[in-house]
Amino acid sequence: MREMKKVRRVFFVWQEHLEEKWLTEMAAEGWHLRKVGFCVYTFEKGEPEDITYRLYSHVGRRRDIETCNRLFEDMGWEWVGSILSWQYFRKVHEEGKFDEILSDNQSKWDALKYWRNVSLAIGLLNLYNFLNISFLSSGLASWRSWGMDLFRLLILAVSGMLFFGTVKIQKRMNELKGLHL
Amino acid sequence: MKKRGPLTESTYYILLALQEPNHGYGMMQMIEKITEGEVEIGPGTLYGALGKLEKQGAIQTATCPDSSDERRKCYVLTDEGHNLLVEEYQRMKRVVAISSECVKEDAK
Repeated sequence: MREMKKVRRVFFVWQEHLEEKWLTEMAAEGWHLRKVGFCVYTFEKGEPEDITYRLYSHVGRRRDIETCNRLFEDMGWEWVGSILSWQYFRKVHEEGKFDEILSDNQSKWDALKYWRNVSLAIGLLNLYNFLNISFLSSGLASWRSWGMDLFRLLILAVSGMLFFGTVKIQKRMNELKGLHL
Repeated sequence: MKKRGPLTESTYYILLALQEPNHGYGMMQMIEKITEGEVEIGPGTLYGALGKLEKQGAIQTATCPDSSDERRKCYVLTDEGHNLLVEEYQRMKRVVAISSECVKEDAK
């Protein structure tokens, strides 16, 4: 049995490139990703290698994931794990070899647009919940307690974070649009 | 199918590779061969484009001659997809015809 270790780390949706870079750095130290969980990464100790990692968010029906992963496999990408709709792939880095999974601006833009919409929708839903339990619903709004106030603050914070994410993603979309000109 | 602007380069080559039934891997090999490696399409871009084209009715699932693995999905152009390919080809020919008369290739 080889040495394994679990690392807890939080990445946000708009930080997938940071996450990919981090995984490559781990592989360079001989820690190879074996399993992905919710903010938990399981690594196995091995030889240091130059590995490219890519995260792909599979949008669509769950049963199509197999087809998607087969396509990646055919093109030289090894599937490592998944969390929600995110699929983790790896490939041994070869100098000068093409190693992007999204090769044109249109597909990058499409992927960003999906996450912007998800982020915005959940953000708005949270904001509505916050307004509801703070002002709108007479029963809940009059519920005054230390715990309830903390809960309200938490919901507001989550919604703020999601709006922050929406703006971040929108900025990257605008940058891509600019490249078209 | 709604009228659309110029196709992306990837979409055009995918349509080109789907005049005969083909799966993702076969498409990539064909595109790499005919463009002599100049055009490389990432698997994410290919997978996304196939989904979009199927939704728009430009391609449909088919049976490939060498479909040993059922996880490999095989596609072929529909009539609409074929029209799309031909229209884009003619559009590009017009662009080249117009350009050949006025682009000065030797910069002074």
